[in-house]
Amino acid sequence: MQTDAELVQTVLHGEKQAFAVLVKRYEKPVRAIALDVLGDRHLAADVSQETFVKAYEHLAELRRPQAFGPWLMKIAQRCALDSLRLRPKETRLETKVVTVIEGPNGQLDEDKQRLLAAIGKLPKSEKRVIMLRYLGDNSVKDVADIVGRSVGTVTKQLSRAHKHLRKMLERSEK
Amino acid sequence: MKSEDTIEKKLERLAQVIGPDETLIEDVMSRINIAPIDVLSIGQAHNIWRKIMKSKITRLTAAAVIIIVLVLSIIFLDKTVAPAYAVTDLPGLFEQAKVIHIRGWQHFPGHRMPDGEEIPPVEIDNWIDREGGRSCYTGTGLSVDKNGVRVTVSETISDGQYKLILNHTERYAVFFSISDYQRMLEAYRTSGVFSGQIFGDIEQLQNFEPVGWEQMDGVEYQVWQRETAHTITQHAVRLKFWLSPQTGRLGRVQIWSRVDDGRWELSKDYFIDYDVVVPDGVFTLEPPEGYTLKNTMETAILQELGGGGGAGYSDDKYSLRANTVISFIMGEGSIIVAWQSLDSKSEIPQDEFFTGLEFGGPLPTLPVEIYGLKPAGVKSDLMYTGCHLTHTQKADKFIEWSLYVPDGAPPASVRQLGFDVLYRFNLDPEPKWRIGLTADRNMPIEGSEDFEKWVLGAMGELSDDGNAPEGMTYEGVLQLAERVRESSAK
Repeated sequence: MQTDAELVQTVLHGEKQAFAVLVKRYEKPVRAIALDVLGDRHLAADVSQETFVKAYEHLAELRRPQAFGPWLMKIAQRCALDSLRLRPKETRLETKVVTVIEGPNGQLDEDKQRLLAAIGKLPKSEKRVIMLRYLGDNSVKDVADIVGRSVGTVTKQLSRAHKHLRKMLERSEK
Repeated sequence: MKSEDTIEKKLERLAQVIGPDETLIEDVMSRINIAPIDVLSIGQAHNIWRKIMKSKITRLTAAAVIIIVLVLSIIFLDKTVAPAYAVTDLPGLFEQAKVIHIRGWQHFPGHRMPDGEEIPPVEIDNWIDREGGRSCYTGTGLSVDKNGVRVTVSETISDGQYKLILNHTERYAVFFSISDYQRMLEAYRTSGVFSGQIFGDIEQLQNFEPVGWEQMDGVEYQVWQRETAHTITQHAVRLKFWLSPQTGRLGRVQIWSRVDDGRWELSKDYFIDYDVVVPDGVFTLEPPEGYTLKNTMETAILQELGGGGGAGYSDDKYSLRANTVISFIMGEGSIIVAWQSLDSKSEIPQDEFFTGLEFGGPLPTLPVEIYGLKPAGVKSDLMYTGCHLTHTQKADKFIEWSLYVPDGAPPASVRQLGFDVLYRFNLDPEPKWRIGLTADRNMPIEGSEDFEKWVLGAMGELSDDGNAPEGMTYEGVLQLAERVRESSAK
């Protein structure tokens, strides 16, 4: 499996198709961030698309190709916040009310929202491996390959992330 | 929800809810295909180049890369575009040039004085005396910031035993002495053996196109041109060479840079003379009057082995230095790189990083870790993965010796263009900077004799006791490379 850094270099060398691999790899993590900010899956889908297009347009400015993941997630956060700012106030209020429902309107239930919010508060390295492992449907070995770390390191990071998430969720339940 | 399993299940359920977006890839790809990456890269390249030129460290690294590419290009192209000669004649022709004189001007494209005028170019007057192992190089630097424009000029003169660096801007002089190993290395790098290695990739010439003819000093030259962009910075340059089909010699070199508004501005304009008489005083190690002497020939500093890329960075958390020292390319394609990385603000003693390491095992987790290499200057999926060979220590400096094994057949270009260094930070939080490490002067090692002379010689040069670590052999390294290949193929 190619690392993020290798894929970024390949894209910068003109092989645009390699960007599709990065989109596939980070599709869910990006949408999860957008969802966390916006609380609406339809809007999150639009923001995801915008995030990847922006990332592509600014790819040559990425100073450390191996930091593609965290860099992309920052873009996602910014795009989602921009989208939130552009929405009419009443829509925002409505979202607050209906986000407890998981259903056809595209919102998450409260538990999942709290979990997403907790993921958002994890340290950068833990957030990245959690998102790649669970939201990106990657094996631990694949995550290790993607982030350029050993399987042992990623396993430890995942374990730490689990503990952090558990604590945060316990606190938020009280 | 009190166990990790519960968290895991919650995460899995969350992933299911988020679900795949069947059209995302298609939508994104159709949108980005409208904006061709080549145009974007070139457009952004000049911003990057500006950033590079604003930073002293990256500017010097970039300058070093350009100089190396230029020198290699000069050596390489010198004898290879001569229709009158057979290819097999070229290395021989190259060796016939005992003295090379490069004179001309260094310009500063993309930059202006505060009043908008062009920054005055710096005159270049470089000499290489192959037989005598002597050389004289002019170096330039440019600093552009809120305080204005500052051009620095230095000169490095070597008589084969000592080296004198003259800083013409600060008006000071420093003497260095050169060890036996380094003297041998300098001589080698300008020898026919090195040039023979360069001629190994003559197909590179296919990338140049003839664009016309010109006469200089009564000699007819064919002008060849190539436009290219740097692998990492995407900085676009145009190279022009004046080559004589009669002599096979390179008479003039121009390097143009593409600046922000898309115009090409001249960066270097060099004229090359061969086997001319060296004027008296060119290689004399005498500082000009009025210069401050930092030391004398008697108290000369022993020059440290170097030649790779180096970088430093300091902020309130880190004081980092990292560099590649020397690199070797083994006959079967793997690369040995000696490198260093130090964070002087760290409380971890350097020797702890090297405790428990094994031949062929993982690399030390130094603050900056060079975990791999990629061929520079070409499109390639090839990846060189690193493993530990040994380490040496000189004074308080620890040097890691790593072996990088390719996962396929390396392109021939690596022998000329070297490698992009892949590194990671073993620091938390990661510093917000990018280092410009390179490994671009790779000496070929074709057998045990080369290995003992050059690799073990360098290890000894970088050891307190002057000896290489025991048990390090050419065959042992080759066997390790084979094992790495086999395990990665599984």
